Amino acid sequence: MIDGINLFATMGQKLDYLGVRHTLIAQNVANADTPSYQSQDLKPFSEAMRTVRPATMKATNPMHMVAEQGNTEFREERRVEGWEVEPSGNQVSLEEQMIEAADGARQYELANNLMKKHLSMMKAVLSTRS
Amino acid sequence: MDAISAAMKIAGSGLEAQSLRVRMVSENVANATSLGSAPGADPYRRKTIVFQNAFDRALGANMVEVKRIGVDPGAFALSYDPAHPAANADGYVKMPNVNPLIEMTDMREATRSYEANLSMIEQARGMAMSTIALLDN
Repeated sequence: MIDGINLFATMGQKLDYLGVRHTLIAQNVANADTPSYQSQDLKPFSEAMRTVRPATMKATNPMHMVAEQGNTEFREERRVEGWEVEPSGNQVSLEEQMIEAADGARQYELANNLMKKHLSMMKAVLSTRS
Repeated sequence: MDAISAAMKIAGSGLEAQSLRVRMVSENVANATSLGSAPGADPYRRKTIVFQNAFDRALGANMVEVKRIGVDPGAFALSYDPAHPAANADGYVKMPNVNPLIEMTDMREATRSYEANLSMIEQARGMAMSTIALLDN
């Protein structure tokens, strides 16, 4: 029911987006010493939402294998320009990733607090006691 | 699987890889003076570790894993010690190609990457906890 309220739907998407982005940053950090690994990231939230859902294969038989490429609801940034490229071809700069992760966590906190505040506003409206 | 626990699993694979790297460093340092026992025999050869990313279908993300543990093909230094059992006809003993300075640098780098992975886990946990806290009121 509360999905119909615009703020909850948007905040839900924002939290989902930040979660997926955190996964990508964790992936970059884990591969910080993997030769010729390229950093991955999502496009900024304002342009990340897909207006057209990506096409997926239909499985008509439970034995069919469908390529599961994780959450594809958000647009991926294909050309990530990192701060530096190591001699091994690795593109991950730990400092940069830490900043991105801290920024993501801060935005997540903000979205959560907005959600909480909105919930308490709704409760104030719905409460019968005056 | 939701994104937050996927992030934790990926960072966990990073922790595992980096701790294996520190293990390799400690093996090298511990064997920095392990010499051969027969005349002219090769001493301990420095070990190296290479990582690669591996796509995990269940997570839909690239984890990190150890590609191979190799050996450093670098030349051995010679040290003059005619009394040693591994000394060759000229009285020289081959020393392991372990450079303590390189090992220490490698260890510091591994520690730094380990801490970065750890802080990713902490942040993911903080995010999950703040969402759970929505249930409070």
